[in-house]
Amino acid sequence: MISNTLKQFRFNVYIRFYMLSYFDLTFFAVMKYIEGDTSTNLRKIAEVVSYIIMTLSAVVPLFIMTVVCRRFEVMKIKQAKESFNTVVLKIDKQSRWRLVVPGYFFFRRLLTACLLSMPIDNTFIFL
Amino acid sequence: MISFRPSSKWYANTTYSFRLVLQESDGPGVKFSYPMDVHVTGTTYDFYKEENFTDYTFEMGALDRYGNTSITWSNPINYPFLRDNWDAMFDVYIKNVTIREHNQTMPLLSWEHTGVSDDNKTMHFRARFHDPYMLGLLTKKSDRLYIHFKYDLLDFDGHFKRESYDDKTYFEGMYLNCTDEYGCVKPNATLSRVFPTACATDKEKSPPDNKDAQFISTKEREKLYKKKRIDIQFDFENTEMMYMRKFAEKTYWYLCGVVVFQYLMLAMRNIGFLPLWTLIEYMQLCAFIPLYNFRMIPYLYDAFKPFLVSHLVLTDEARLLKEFENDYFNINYDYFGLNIAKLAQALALVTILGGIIIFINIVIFAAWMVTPRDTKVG
Repeated sequence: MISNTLKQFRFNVYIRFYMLSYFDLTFFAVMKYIEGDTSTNLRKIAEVVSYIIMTLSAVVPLFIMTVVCRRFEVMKIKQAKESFNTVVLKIDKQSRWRLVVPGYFFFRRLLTACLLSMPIDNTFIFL
Repeated sequence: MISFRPSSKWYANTTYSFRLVLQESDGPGVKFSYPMDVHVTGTTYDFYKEENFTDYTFEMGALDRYGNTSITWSNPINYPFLRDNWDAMFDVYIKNVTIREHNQTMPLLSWEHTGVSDDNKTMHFRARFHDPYMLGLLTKKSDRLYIHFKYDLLDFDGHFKRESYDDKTYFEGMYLNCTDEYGCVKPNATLSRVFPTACATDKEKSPPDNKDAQFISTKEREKLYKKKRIDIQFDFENTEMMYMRKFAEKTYWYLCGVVVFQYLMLAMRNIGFLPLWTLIEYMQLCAFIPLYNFRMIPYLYDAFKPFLVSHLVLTDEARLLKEFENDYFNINYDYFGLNIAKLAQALALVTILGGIIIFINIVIFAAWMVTPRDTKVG
């Protein structure tokens, strides 16, 4: 029982947590980057953190997709797939193209975060 | 010898004609009459060019979300007089975004005088509108509030009309002259003018200055108004707006209840949390609809708050980084009450949640280490 619970932490819980917080993290980071105020030390730290989060927001989804893509054949085995259920459950159709679905999950949120951070008078605000 | 000593500059370059009569005082009627001309040398003074006038014009201040606005006069004004005679001197109205369709201005619900600045120049007001939730919703088109000085009060020189049939001199009571030395006193009305430039333009367009004109022009005096965009309004004295606000606040708790209820039911039935995750994921995307459409009813934000996951736990007051409580990413976030402190708080809570997950992972790992593998629990 404990081993089953522990298995969830490798890596389902973390992936799920990242997916849930992905939007907020990306949104806050992009917003801080666009605001660009570095007048105080706290704001400078926030600016650096926003760079890091933005980079991770682009890299981590690609990394997860790459891992799943590389292990796709192995993941046809149920036990091997269990650790990535959060991502793989939606692509359980024996086709690598199904990776587009979780990819779209991240892309949609990344795009939303960028659009929401646009200045109020930007022409593209109506997108 | 007769000496003439003009006592005022206003006699300059003027010829006075009179007749000098010499008559013997006690004689038999010797009497001579001489026509005389006296010319006072100097350059003619043009009253409207030479005198220092106190000109009164006003500018309008921005209208805030609570309907507060102001007008600032170029010189001190007699506030109690203007306040008491406001309706006789000004029209206040709205031209909304559909003005071209109905070609009709909209009246205000109320127009309240809220005070005057210490220098007696800035008058403060609070406007309330019918259906305030319908105003300020578009970005590229504007609903506008107009403060319009009535066109028929002034003559061509910028003075209040002084005709026997149309006497408006009563409104000269609006003038006030303030100096450090004497304080505020009622000034010389002849040397005070209101919007003289517009009045002078009307004069040029009217007979006799404009020989082609048949009628007196009031065109420029009809444009003595100032206007400001009405941005989104938060009038919680409005019944509908207050109802929707309360409804949104309650919806927050209903939606929180739905999430918690679903979590408990799924946990009890032990069938996995996929429906819950799916619900939350879609809630997250729905949540930013009002923020996407930045003009969409921010007072309903509470109804969408639970959808924002990290906003789910946002308190009305920020608990962290209080110094950023008045700091907003832009005006829309201000409308939504989402200051930097609150957003940072949401981010901090996400981070804490991540820390809790790591902590639980460590605890379970430790439990797994100390639990024998061959038991049911292990």
